[in-house]
Amino acid sequence: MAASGTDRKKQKRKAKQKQVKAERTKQIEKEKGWDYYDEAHYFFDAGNTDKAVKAMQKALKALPNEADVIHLLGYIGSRTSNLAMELDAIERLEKIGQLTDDIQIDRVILLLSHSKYEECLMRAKQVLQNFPTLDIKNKRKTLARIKEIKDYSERMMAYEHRKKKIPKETIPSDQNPVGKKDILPKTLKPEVVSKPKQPSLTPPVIRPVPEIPRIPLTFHTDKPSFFKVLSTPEPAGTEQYELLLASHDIRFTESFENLICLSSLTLIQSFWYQEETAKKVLKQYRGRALLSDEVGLGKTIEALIILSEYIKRGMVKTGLILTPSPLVSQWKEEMISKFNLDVPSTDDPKFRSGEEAFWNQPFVISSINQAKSAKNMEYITAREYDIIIVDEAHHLKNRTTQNWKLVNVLKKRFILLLTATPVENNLMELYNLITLLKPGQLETATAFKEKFMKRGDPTDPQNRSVLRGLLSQVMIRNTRSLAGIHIPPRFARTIRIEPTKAETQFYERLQTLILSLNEQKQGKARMAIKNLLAQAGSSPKAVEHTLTAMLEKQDYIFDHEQEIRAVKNLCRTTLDTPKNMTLLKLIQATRDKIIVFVKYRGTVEHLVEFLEWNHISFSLFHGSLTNLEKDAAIDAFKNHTKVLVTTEIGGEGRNMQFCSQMVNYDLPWNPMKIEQRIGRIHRIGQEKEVQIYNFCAAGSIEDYILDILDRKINMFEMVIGEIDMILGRISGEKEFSDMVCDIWLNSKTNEERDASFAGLGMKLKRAKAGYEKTRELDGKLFGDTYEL
Amino acid sequence: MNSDTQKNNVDLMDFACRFFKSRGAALESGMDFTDILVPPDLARSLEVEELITVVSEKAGSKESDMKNRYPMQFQSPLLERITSLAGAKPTFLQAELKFEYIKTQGFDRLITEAFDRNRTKIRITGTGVARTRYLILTSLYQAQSDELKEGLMDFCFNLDTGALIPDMIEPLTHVQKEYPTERVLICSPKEIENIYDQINQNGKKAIEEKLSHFVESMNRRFKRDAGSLEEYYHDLTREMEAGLSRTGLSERLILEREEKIALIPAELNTKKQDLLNKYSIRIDFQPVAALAIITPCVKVFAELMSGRQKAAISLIYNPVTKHMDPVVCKSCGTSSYSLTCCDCMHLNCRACLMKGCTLCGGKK
Repeated sequence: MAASGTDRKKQKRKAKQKQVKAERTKQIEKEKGWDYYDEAHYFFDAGNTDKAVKAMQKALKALPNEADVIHLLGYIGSRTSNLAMELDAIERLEKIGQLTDDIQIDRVILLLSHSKYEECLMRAKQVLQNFPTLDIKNKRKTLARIKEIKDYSERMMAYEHRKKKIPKETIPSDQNPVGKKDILPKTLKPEVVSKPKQPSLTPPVIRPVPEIPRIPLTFHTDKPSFFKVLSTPEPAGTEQYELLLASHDIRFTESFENLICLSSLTLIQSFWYQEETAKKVLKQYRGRALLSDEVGLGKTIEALIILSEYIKRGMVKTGLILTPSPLVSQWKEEMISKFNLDVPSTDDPKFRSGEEAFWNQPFVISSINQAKSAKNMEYITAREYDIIIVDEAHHLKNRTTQNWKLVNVLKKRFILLLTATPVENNLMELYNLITLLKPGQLETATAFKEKFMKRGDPTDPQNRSVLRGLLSQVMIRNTRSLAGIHIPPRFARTIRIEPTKAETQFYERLQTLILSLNEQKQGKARMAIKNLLAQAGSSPKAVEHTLTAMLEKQDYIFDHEQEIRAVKNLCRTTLDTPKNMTLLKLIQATRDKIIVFVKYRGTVEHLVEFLEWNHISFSLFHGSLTNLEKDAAIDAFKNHTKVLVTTEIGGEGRNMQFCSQMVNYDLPWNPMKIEQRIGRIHRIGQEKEVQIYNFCAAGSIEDYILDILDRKINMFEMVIGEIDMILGRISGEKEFSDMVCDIWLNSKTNEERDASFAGLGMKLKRAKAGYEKTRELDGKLFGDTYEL
Repeated sequence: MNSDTQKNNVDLMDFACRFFKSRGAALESGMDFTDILVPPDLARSLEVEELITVVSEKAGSKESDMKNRYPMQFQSPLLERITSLAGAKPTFLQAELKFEYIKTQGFDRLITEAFDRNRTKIRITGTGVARTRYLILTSLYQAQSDELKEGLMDFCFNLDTGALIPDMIEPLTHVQKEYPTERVLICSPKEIENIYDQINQNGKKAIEEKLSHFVESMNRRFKRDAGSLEEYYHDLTREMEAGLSRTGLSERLILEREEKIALIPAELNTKKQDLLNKYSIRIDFQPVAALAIITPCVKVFAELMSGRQKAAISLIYNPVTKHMDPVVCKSCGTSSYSLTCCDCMHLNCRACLMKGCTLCGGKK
């Protein structure tokens, strides 16, 4: 028994050894197979096809079920036009279950191109049978093509069958002018008797399938880091080693499921729908999308989350942001303040048009006008960008414009188009935008018109479900109802203040000085003049600051020094202004907290003095405070003081919704700035109705501005973001503040001034009506179909 | 998923506590939370106070509002700073392996089974227990296309032979190790150069294999998009050409349109290049950690014979893999289980043998 036990063990051991040996042999065979595979590659690359084919056969013998080897066989077959080899490869792939749906289609085309009608017919039938389950692009087109191929193959087979039956002798030579020796039987159709003819159907147009290269794969190893790690090692403990590996594991889980950029956002908290939109664009749309959220939902933030995410993951290293001119500075500010991205812009003082170095920087924010100018376009189109972002992309709605052509010609990997109104008058506008994102997504313009546009109404699409399917692959449009934004209404009141005699005198002297400066140095002193005018609307103290600076620097003085000194003196005599008294009354009349927005530092100082003098408890918030001081100011306002005096800088992102009243002590000439002020308290989280008090001196520029913005277009009751859309329609590339300044400076009489402002008001009113019509149309067209 | 790590099951709370402990913090654990007294420098680096409380993900949502309490969950800023700090500097760990038993005979069979010898014969002339050095290099790869794929990849090298050793990581976990703190195993510049070359040679192949699905998916998508682009421009050209035959077009207009048609191929090429740039894959490879190992092994001395030619070689029996280590091709430096030699008896891999030995130009 013992002996037999030992024998059994021996046998078992031998069997195991045999098994191990067989496995090793198999392994070696496999390795040899891969060597042959490499050899085949090598010889084929070297142009020695015979040797490549031989090596290929050996490789196939050793590795009959390896998809890579079979693919190489197919590749060699296709490159050498060896149909048998190609078909062999396809059959092998089929055997091992690796035949993709695309290759099935390719096989049908391949068989047809080699006139293998019978097999082609069989395969086409097979494909048609399984067609619903196939996972291929352009299914509809492919289906039509395969059907065409099937019909054609059937006809060709019938034709060949008939050809075999007809004896060659029956073909009279004079009836065969093109030298074809086949003919249809005479009895078929009388008209075809006279000339030989191919089957009645012309062969389907099978375009040669263009050679599409495989995507390049580049491999980079950082040599210095290898040397750094290995040549001067600092020994670590096991814990440190394991923690390092774990830290990478944690980092890897932060895929696009988690947006890694969010933790570094400053001053804002993104909303859920903005984050989901960013994830969808990153994961599903792969960086090419039309962001068409309704106005005020934060398309800019969505685009910047996407951009930051790409940057943080190292996937984007260059980018160009194109916006209408008035929005350049806004983008710059948002990028730096909220995303910590300091990007040069065409608004920067250093920017000079046509300067190559500027355009060669990795990231640039540019007005679309600057970008398309002949001087700059050359540089922009010569380089490649990882990402292009176009704000207010409805300016690209017309493909014959330079705007569209510029974006079309830019070399880019990712592109984001931002607009709340992709269709204004015609569905073709939408087509043009989508074609920039993905040429061919909506086929050609003619095909699009035929399929999706009704005659007579260019805004009402047909085949809606198909169009919806195509658009939803590239477009997101979130609505306010999805975002769940329900904020109480806001109400604005203009408080027109009659100036005192001293103030009137001051304004008149200043006005004369400004007009004189303007006449003498038109254009050059414009910035200073614009500033002085705006400061006059704020407080004499603000004007005094600028005049002092002008005198010190001897800027734009010419022969006005005396007059400047006189106006400066007048500033000092107008301290207790009626504006201050009105503010005091307002503060005293309410129990609620109140934010007073002031633009100029001089005015802030003046106001602070006044409030202190009148024993009003207030907090001060401005750009020169440190973050801690800012937090402390807001904290004090929330818990102790009644008034917050704040400049426009730095308040974003801090929760001030506990306050529902605000005063525009002075009024920015740029309506978007006014909107930003309102946005500080009229935002998600606000529970009360918001009261906005706008101060202005009667007859001042601000009075005119308020007349237009409040009375003519009700700006203060609009949704945030809508004013941009309206201004975008009238101003083109000129800012609203410049238009206002021009009217003020260029009007010779009060009547002329009134008429010009009335004209501007009408223009805005018309623009608002146009915008509302577009908004309605887009709402009707898209509804909530393209929401997340 | 963008990373190769399967759904991560790292205990974030445990990770954070270990991190703080390793950096000299004092910890006091409670239920779902840990109070931590953070050293001042570390507190500054992490932008936290010196006394903080980290709370588990479960408790995080209700606890996070309170000051100095940090929930340990993905996307939390503190966790991000901790992982950045923990992974910031490449780590170098050294270990000495201990074996109770190491095989001393039976190498004939092992060699026969392991190596492809072609027409060469091998005769073992002696064996001896020796010490050898291995290096396990953990590298971070980032494959960027229009999405990002990243992960860690380990490579194991025998520093003495320069061979790349397959399948050594997994069995290593079962081997007894000691971690000396004083002695530092330093690689010579030549050895580092060799490692770098090997990574360049084999890393690409290994990564391609690992990312084959990713690469194929990118190729498929590129093919799909490029195909549809071709189709669009083809149809566009056809439409525009058809438009030329319309009546009433002036010669100038026809000329203009013909010029536009002529520009289409260039535009198509630019768009295709955009797609190619979008989908092209760039793989960056960077070492993040190294484990240097000193271990006993068996050196097998042998004689390689081919016809009348002979050459003495030495092979290494690896007690971790319980297998022979591969040999290094004298021409290209790749590691293989091929004992094929050129006419001058230089060890060459099959590919180099076909091209010709770089040392003597000889083939087989």
